[in-house]
Amino acid sequence: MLAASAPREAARHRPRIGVVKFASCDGCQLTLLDLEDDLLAIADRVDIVEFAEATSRRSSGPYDILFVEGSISTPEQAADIVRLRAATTTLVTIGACATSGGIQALRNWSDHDAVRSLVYPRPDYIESLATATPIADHVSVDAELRGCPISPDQLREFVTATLVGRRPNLPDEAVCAECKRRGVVCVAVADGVTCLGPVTRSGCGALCPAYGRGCYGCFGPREAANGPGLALWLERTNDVTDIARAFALINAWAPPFRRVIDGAGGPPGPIDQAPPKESPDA
Amino acid sequence: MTAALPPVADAAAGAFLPRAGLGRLLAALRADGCTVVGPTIRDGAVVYAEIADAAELPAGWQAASAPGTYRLDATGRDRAFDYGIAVTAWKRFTHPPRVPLTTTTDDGLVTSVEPDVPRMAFIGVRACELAALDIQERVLRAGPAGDMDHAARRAASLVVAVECAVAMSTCFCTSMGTGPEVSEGADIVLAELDDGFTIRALTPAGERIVATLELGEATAGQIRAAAEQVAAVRVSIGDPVPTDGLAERLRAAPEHPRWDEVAERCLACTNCTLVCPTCFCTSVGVSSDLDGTTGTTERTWDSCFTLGFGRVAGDANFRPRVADRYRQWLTHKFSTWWDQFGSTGCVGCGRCITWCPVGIDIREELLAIAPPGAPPAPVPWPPSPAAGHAPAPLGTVDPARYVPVDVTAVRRETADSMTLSFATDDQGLLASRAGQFVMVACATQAVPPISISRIREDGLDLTIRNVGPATAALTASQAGDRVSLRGPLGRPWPVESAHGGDVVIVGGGIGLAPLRPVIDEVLRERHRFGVVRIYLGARTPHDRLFVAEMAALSGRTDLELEEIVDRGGPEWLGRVGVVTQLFERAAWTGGRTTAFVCGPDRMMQATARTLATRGVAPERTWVTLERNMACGVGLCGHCQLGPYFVCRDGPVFSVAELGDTFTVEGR
Amino acid sequence: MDHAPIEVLAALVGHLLPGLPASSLRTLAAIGRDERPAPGTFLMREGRPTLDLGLIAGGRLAVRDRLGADDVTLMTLDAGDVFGWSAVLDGVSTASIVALDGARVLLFERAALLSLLAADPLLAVVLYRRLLEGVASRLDATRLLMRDVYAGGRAS
Repeated sequence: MLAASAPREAARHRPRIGVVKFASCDGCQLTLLDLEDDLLAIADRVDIVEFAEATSRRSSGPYDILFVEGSISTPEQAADIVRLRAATTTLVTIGACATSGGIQALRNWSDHDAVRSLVYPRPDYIESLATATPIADHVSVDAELRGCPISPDQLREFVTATLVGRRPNLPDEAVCAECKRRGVVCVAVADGVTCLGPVTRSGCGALCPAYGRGCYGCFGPREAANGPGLALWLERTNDVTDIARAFALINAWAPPFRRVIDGAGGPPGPIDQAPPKESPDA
Repeated sequence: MTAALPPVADAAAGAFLPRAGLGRLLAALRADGCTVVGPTIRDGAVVYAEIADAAELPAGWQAASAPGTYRLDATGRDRAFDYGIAVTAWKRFTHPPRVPLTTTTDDGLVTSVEPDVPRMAFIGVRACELAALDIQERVLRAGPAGDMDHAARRAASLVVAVECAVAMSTCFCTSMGTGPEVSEGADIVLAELDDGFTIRALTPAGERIVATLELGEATAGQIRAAAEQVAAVRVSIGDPVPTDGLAERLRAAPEHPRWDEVAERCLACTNCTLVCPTCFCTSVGVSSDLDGTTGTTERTWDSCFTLGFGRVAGDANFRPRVADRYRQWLTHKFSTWWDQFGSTGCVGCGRCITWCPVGIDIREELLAIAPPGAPPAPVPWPPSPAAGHAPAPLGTVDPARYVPVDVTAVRRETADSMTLSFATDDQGLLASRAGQFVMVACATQAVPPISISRIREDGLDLTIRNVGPATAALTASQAGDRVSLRGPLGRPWPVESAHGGDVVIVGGGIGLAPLRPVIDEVLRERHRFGVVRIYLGARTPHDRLFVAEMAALSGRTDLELEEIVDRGGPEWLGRVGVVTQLFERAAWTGGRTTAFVCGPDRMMQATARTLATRGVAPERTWVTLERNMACGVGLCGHCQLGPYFVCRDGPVFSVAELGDTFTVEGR
Repeated sequence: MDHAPIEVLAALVGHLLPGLPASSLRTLAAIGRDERPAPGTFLMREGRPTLDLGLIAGGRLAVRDRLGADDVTLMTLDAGDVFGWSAVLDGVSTASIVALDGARVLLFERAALLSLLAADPLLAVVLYRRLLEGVASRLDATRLLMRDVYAGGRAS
């Protein structure tokens, strides 16, 4: 990790930071802008050399830290990420798309050509890969910030820790731990709500359960995430399709969630069976 | 709140508080300076929270709880305390989920945050919860240094217990011997009847409050009705978990197949531990400003179900599997808690059953893993640490007391390790003994435990291997830098116990660091020892520590020193292989030998086996264990191992004391 | 080459193989050779026939392997260790054995040893047990090293 071995060096050297995106909604990059005052303080200490959402400056690297948003969805992206990796010391994926493929990875279960013809009048103009895959499937990744979008607190902690050469405090525990520390009543037990909290990594501050909603797993699987164990319990009161639907969302392609979806025969309502747009009665 | 006293006055023992007078009791508590915390309904469940008015109590509600489910049903009556127990344990107020600890500045100074504690009255505390408060108090005051924050909170709290009139399906206090009857541990005890409460005070503080209410005596009928009510609760719960011999039965089952089976269902989500009223484990998180000039630490609830809980330097982990973690939790609650604290670690409140999101019922697991009936085969269990030499003396170490020290010299030992010399005139630090360790704080880093590699008249040496950011920062120190040390911590090597006999010292790699003070001590009083043999292993010749010093030792005639490396190189003319080869066929036998061993776990296990074949008794074979030692004083729970906290009862143990905890994986 | 008197050899063998009855000691000593190979002498070469079983009476030997251009010492052996156990198996050496400083070895020629072992069950029990101990100890050492390989240098 950058400067991890010597805070003194960090003090001497202004790290070069880049932010790039692939297939994604830009929401995670916006979290960086949402840091507001903190962002200005950070900008005082680093050189932001590439950040399309914020500046017209462009750089081909090298980067001390490169934040990567989005999944790899086209052949061009697959080539770009390899080039960027070579120019980067610490590569950090930000958000569910970059870390597990994101919501667009749902297409990995469907017939790619069929979907393309459904969506685009001239699918031959579209060059895309059959799958949307996480960055780590293509190059090595040094750190991950989870979430859809990422948490500003975790982003701030990551940047601060990295600048001073400290191990960032990004716990790999269940959302449940945050619920219990906050004193949020468990929505799964008290309300029977389907909640992915027990298998999802913390970092959001138990946002959804605090509003009485089940966790929908946007931070993706935690360490030792026992998707099948949770699915087994949910089967008492839910049918298999409901359970698969709960897991087949933002981090569907992450292996512990994928196992549950595959166990149910794939995500419910595959889009390649949806009626074509032009002929609603077909 | 201290140990219960007998009822102070007959009137107080049998007064009656009409239902309408409940508000007056709350007012009296507030008039006494207390914030009143009690049961109230939030988000469809009863929680403990600050209440301003008796109307906020969950009157007319009763909880239906079962494994993994909880629901409130209307009772149609106006009783306020028929809800069972709340989601939250009282530990939220006595041992809060987040407590700020220290501020560290880049000049190495550590400042402790003083506890800011409100005076609180807890109303609605159940018998099982009183037991839990007592158990946590025992744990967090066990020392060598008690938890100051907890002590302050308990001292500032007043406890109003309410006898149970209704049992939940998940209750099993009767089995654990903690309820349902309230006998001690409260200041005031209420029993709820349809038209009001019998009320008695158990302490002078309670008596004072009750006296202000100016109540009439309870009738014999009211007192009898209250007693019959709680007796009926006992009958309705029965004895779901026969505990006779349970601790021993569990101890005998470390490899029961059920551990793996429950791990398939267990989500390791931490809910059971965080709702548990006795679970006390915490972690310390560090945060810092952007320039790294100021760092702050905060203590948060943690759980033995997280991966990070068993993690040590270099990302090794002692409990990587969920089955390991579940076993750790269950055996601690019902077995090793007795060894450590002389009580059960479970009070039978059933929260872990209700709030397990997949409905795992520990009662069922216990019956499957350690069924009542035939007594288990006797398992050799280590004697308590007191049977060996004593742990570090109590009361000498303030867990929050950091001593700033200056780095006076830095010496590179290997590619990834450095020896830092510190100067200090702190008498506590200078009284360090061989085998002890210190917590090392530098500005914005986590605070790692580092064993002392030399005790000098004017300071200490620490030999540190760079295995992560905190140790990287430390190994980058320069003369003139300042850090803060907390310690000395842990139980030292029992070097004196080797007086009059032979000594064998076996070190593997960085494991030589905590052994060097033993060598120093033995050489300082060389005449007290017989033959001294030192066997050193390392991965490669470049990974050897203190090379010049060891070379000088090998030239001495009053000791034997042999070295071996796993992998030599063309330039290495010495032995190649593992350290046990140095003495597995040696001529000596170890009847009067004491061995001091430090290295990776596997190396120590192999060494202990080989030493046994040479006749060195397990009682005289001493090892020092590496675990996740975060607080260093037995309060955070990370380093718990069988009946021990490694930081407090160790890190030095004899192989006999460790028994099978030394060899069973995942402990 | 020096040949010690059979009594000396028998005494040495007795020291290295405790538990052998006197009669077996003498018959074993009778086929033994007491040698002091110069440093660098190959007592055995990987892939070549194993001519003798050896007991180390003093000094040190190295178990060597070739890795590319380098000769790598996998392990060193000291007094009391056995080597060349393929002499009682298929007779093909699985490693090279090189003498280091001050080596003194007792060597037992393969064919003669095998006939002795077939004729003297007591000798066979003691010798095979000693070989098993040697193999077990080296497997133990290998296991510790393998853990290192699998753990990628992590602790424990």
